Amino acid sequence: MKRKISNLGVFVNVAVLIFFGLFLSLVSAQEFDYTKAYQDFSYNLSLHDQQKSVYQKARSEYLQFGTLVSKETTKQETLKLLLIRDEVVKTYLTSLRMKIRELEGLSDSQKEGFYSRIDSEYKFFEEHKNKLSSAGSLDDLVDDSNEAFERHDKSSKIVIYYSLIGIASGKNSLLRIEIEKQISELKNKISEIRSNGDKDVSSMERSFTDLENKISRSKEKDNQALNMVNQIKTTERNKENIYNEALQETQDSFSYIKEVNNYLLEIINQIKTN
Amino acid sequence: MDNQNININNQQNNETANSTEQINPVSEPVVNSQQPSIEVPVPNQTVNEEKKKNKYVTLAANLWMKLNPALRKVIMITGFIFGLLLLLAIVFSVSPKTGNKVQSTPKPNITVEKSPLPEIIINPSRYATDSAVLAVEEDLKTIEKEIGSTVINDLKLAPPNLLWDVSFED
Repeated sequence: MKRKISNLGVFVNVAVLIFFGLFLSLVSAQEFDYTKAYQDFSYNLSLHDQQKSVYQKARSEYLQFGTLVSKETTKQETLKLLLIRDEVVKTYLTSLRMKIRELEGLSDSQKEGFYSRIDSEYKFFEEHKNKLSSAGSLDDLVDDSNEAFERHDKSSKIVIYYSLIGIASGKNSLLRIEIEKQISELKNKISEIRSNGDKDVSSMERSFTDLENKISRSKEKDNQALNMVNQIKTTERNKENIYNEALQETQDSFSYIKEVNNYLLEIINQIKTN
Repeated sequence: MDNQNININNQQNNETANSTEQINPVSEPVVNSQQPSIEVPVPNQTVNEEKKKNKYVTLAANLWMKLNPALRKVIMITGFIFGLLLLLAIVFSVSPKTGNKVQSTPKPNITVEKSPLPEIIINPSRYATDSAVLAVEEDLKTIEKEIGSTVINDLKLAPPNLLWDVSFED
C-alpha cells in the first residue's frame, strides 16, 4: 500500500513538473533563427577566447616546471579548450546554415547543396567533441587537436568560404530578380509609348541592351566566384587568397546591379520629361 | 430503524439544549445587588451553525490524520506546486505585455513634420503622371534603398580566429 502511494506520488509530481515545464516553455517560446544562432556562436567564441588565455598560462607553467600537478592542470585546460573550440566551429556552421536558410535569393535546390556540405562538417566536429573526454593523456589530446585542425584546414575552410560566397551571391541574386522585373515592366511601357508615337524612345530602347548585358555580367561574376571557391583543392595553401578574389567578384557583380538600377531611374526621368 | 433515528434525534436535541447552557452561561451572578439579572438571549440557530462548522473541521482533521503519512506528504507537495503554478499564472496574466503597455494620455503633437518637397519636373511630358511609370519609379527607389543597406562582405560572419596550434614543445 505504502509503495503504491509513493508510486502515485512520483507519478503526480512528474506530471506536475511536465505541466510546469510546458507552461514555462510556452511563456518563453522563441523561434530558433539566424539571430539566435549568431548569439550562440558569439557567446561560444567569447568562451573560447577566455579559455585560450587559461590554456596558455597552464601550458607555460607546465613547460617551465614540468611537475605532475602542472601536467594534470594543463591536460584539464587543454581538454576544455578543445571542447569549446569544437563548439565554436559547430555554432559558426549553424549560423551560416541559418543565414542561407533565410536568404531569399537562393533556390531551394541551391540551399540543399549548401546544407549537405555544412552538415557533413558539423557532424565531424560533433563526433570529435564527443570523443574528446576519453583522451587518456596530454599526447592523446594533442593528436585529437591535430585531427580537428586537419579537418578544418582541408575541408571545413572550403565549405565555409563556399557558404560565404553563396550568401554574397544570394544577396546579389535577390536584387537582380527585382531589377529584372522592373526592366520588363519598363520595356512594356516604352513599347506602348513608341506605338503612341508622341515621344522618341529609340535611345531608351537601345540602352536596354546594355542594361541586360550588365545584368548578365553580374550573374557571370557570381557564378565565377562560386566556381573559384568550389574548385579550391584540399592541398591548396592559399585558400584565403582565393576566397578574397572570389569575394571581389561578388563585389563587382553588386556594382553592376547598382549601375543598372541608377540607369533605370535615369530612363524614368527621360520618360517623364519632354 | 426509524425508532433508532428518532432516539438519536432526541438525544441530539437534548445535547444541544445542554450544551447551549454550558457554552453560554448568560445569566450574570448577582453580587450584592438587588437588580434583576439581565439575560441575553442567544439564538439557537447560531449555536447550531457553529457546532456544525466545528464538526466538519474535526471530521476533516480526523480524516487527514487517518491518512498515510506518505500520502499526506504527496498531497502537500502537489498542493504547493499547484499553488505556485497558479501564482505564476496570475502574475503573467496581470503583468502588462510588452505590446499592450498602459499608455499615458497622449499629449498634443506639437512637432511640425516637414512634408517632402514636391518633385519639380521641368518641361514634363504627358507620361510624368502616368501611373505605370510612377509605380516603376517607386519600385526602383525601393530597390535603391535595399542596395544602400546591402553589405556583400558581411564582416560579422567572417570565419572565427581560433587557436589551432596545440603542442607542448618549445
